[in-house]
Amino acid sequence: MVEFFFQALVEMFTPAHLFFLSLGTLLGLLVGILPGLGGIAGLSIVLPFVFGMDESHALSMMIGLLAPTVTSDTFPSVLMGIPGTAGSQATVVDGFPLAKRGEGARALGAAFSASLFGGIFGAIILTGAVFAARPIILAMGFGEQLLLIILALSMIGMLTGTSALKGLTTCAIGLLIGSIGAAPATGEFRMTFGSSYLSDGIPIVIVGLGMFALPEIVDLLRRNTSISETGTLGHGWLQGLKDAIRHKWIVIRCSAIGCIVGALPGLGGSVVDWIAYGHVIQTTKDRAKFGSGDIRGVLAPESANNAKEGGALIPTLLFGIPGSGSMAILLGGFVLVGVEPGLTMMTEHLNLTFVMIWSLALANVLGALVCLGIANHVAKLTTIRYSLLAPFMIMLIFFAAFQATRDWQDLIALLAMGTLGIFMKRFGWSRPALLIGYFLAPRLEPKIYQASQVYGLSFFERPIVIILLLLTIASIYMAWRFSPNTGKIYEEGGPNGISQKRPQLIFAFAMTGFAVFALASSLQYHIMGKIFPMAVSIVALALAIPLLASMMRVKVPSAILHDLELGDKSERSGYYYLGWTIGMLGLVALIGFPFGCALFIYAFVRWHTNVSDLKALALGISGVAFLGLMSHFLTLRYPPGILQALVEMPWWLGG
Amino acid sequence: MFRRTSLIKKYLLKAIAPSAAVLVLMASGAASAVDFSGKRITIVVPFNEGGGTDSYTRFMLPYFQKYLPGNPKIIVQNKSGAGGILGGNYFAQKAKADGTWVFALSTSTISNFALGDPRVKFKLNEFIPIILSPRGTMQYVRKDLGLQDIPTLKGRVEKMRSFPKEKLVFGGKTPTSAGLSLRVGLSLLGIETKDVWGMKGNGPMALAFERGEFLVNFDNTLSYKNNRKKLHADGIAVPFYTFGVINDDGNIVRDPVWPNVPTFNEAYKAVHGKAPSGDGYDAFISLYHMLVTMSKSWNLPAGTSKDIVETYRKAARKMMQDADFKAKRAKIFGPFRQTIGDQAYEIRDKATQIPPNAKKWLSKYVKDRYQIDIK
Repeated sequence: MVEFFFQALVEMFTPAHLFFLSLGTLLGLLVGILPGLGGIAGLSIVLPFVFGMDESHALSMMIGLLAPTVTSDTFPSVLMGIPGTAGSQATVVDGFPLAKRGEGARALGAAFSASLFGGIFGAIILTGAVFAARPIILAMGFGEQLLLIILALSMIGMLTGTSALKGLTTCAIGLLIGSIGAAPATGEFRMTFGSSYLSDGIPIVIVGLGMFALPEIVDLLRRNTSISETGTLGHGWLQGLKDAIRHKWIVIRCSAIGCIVGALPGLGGSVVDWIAYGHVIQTTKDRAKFGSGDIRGVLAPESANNAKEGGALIPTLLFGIPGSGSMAILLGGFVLVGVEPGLTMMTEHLNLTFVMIWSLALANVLGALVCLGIANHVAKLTTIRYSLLAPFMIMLIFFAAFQATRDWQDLIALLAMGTLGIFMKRFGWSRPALLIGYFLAPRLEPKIYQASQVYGLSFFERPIVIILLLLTIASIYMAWRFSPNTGKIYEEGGPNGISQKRPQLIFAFAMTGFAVFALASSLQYHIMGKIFPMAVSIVALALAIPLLASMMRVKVPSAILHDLELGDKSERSGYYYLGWTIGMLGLVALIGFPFGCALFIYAFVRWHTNVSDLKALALGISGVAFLGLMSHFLTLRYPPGILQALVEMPWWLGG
Repeated sequence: MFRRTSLIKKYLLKAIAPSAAVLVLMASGAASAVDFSGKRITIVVPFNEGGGTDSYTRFMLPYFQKYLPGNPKIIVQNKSGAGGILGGNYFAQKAKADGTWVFALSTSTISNFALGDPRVKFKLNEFIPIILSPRGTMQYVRKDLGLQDIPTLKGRVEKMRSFPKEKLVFGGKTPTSAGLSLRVGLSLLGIETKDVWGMKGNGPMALAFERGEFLVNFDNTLSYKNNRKKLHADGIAVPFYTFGVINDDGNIVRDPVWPNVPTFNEAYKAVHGKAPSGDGYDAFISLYHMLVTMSKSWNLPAGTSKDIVETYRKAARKMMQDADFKAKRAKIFGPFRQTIGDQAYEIRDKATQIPPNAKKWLSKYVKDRYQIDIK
């Protein structure tokens, strides 16, 4: 056993292995940096080439690609406020404010150090798990999985922002949005308005981008400066490295969380960053700075999301059960090179298993080193005027949204979710709570049916269920007991003021209205399709009605009120930029995606900055070039415009 | 695709990417109907990268690149959603019947079509199959039920019938997915189960089975052999019957992967004393074709000329003879006989069109048990 372990290491250092590993790592870093693209897109690019390759070369390339995507995804999260992949959404919360304060390089340095540690930690755990995980995974039945989801939901108590009632309401609304589409037990279409697009629910990448990317872009544009408010880069990455060492216990704990969550099939990688983030808030005393640039808020999700890959490989390798979308594609790659996951990974393919473990560790080291090396250069991006970056960002997020189902409706869905996100940000409704509720709904609902059908009430007698139940209660108690706002006094003139309550009341009524609609529409389904949306919408209303009442009644500035536009003196409102975005979609409808985006970039830059016509034109053309290249390599077909029917175009320009 | 030219286009292409101009030149050089020189063939896979249908498609792709005349570049376009329906709709709307568009198909898309899903906007029964790849199905049970100790097939079926419904927990995705054919099969033998729907796939189902939460489970016979090896070897999973495969005469015979396991038809005969027949069995057979005989396939759009269809078939036959393909086929194709040629039409018709009597029976079956309406 041990000799295989070192034999694999020696094998790793042959030139061919190093070549494929580095190739994979560099590709992984690249897709990680591009917002919205992650391991799934990266693996899809290499999959056609994997076929016929030497198995251990192919596997080290694929693992090499997967591992660093969650390292480099920190760049857009920290520097632009756009999550580079789903796994770094929580990084934005504190990483982006740090960049705005001019400490972008420090945040990156801390993130990469944490990523490096988390990645290696994951590889070590995976090594141990290869021999010991089976009984653990087998012990997690339907009941245990159900309680695990409930535990994850309860941890949202940490993320609900200033008002717990509002946060819980948002969470319930998220669960309702997550129940849009085919009911898991009956296949009935819920709240789809007859649209085929909605029958699978709203894609997660679109909810993620809508909640976190578009509102941030619009917000930055309104302030009309560069991302970094100070225009300097701060102390550089060494400071970040020191931060990681100073908070080593956070890094270790969050790496462990990342591994555990990653190893649980179905829970998947998209929430691991939030769970780690919630955990670090829950376990620290001085939490005032979280959300406005606390370095610990960067360390936690970044160590967890790299450690997750090692954890996620456990069920993938041992049972052939992918824990996430990218693991599913990795399994597809296994089939192509002719490796069957399962018991054989510990017997005849043990050498390959160790090659993968070493690849995971080495790719994390390599990825972190490359990122540290370029951090100071990439951080300079934050000093660029945002009006120049923003049109590219908008193009990029719509491009990323288009990856969801590769349909026009992806773009419209993003616009809708983005608009919702903009209002939620303005009125202080917790966007992470909505996202987690949305994400967990399709996992929670079938588990409720399955646990109750298989066990009935007897599942409360299972020991792990009892432990998880106690943990859940403890988590709720902690959330309540250590609420950050107890005794805090709000002042008039800030976002929590009482002047002009009407806009936020209208929004609160709209959210409540959605719950009423969900309740009404749930009545038409058969029993198994009905229970979940009905119960959740009743809970949502039970929370929303007292919320509305107290919002109307309150006479002094308080946590429950929130409107960022109070006392705001920006030149232009968010709707102005939303209008530009709608304009871009109009252009796309007319002349196709690549040219529509290019014209949008040109017009936006010309209108909002004083760069020359030629330079604006060059920016527009580079937009087309980027989209054309991506289309070529990913074999994408963009939505064509109406006018394109008149002129034949090559396929990769949306013909 | 690149037939017409215009000044604007030429200008744009020159300005943006010269390589495209080369493509245009190459494409316009191709004239003959069955020569794909310089052409680009798009295969629409209505599922995600890495899934079963995707792997199946990417596995065959290099051989078709090699054997189609003119060695065209073939690219895979994954367009997932609604159990393959969105990809099907896209294909129906976009595909040209000139041999440059191919649609990869699997069980769930066919059953969505045949069971009258309102979202379907394509006519599957008119698609032209190039190659049909069958996959066997294994119905297996947990050792707790004690079937392994009973020598006769009749005894095993009767033992299963003797359990109360509550005891036999069975799981699947939704009542109208692949699990339905297994469920109908059990009912035809007089076995009723407690059904747990909402499972995410065969992997989680097998885990629930291993944990003892499911007592009755199913898998395709290849996957049962490769992925449930340990469950089988440890005696936790006990094979009950397979669905068998259809031989040249159109009869159901034992699955080549599990020749020692009896077929469903044998089980039926053992317990009922006669070969299966009737509305319920007709419904079963329709579902059978969706699940087993037309498990995976490549198809051309309706209206594709005979020459092109023959060209594809020829390439498929050459692929079957390819030494490299033969060496690697086991993981994806198993030992199953692939259908290439006119027989494929017959199977397509059986899989995509449920006879009225069978449909009536099936509607009632699904309505009674799961309160679901199918058209």
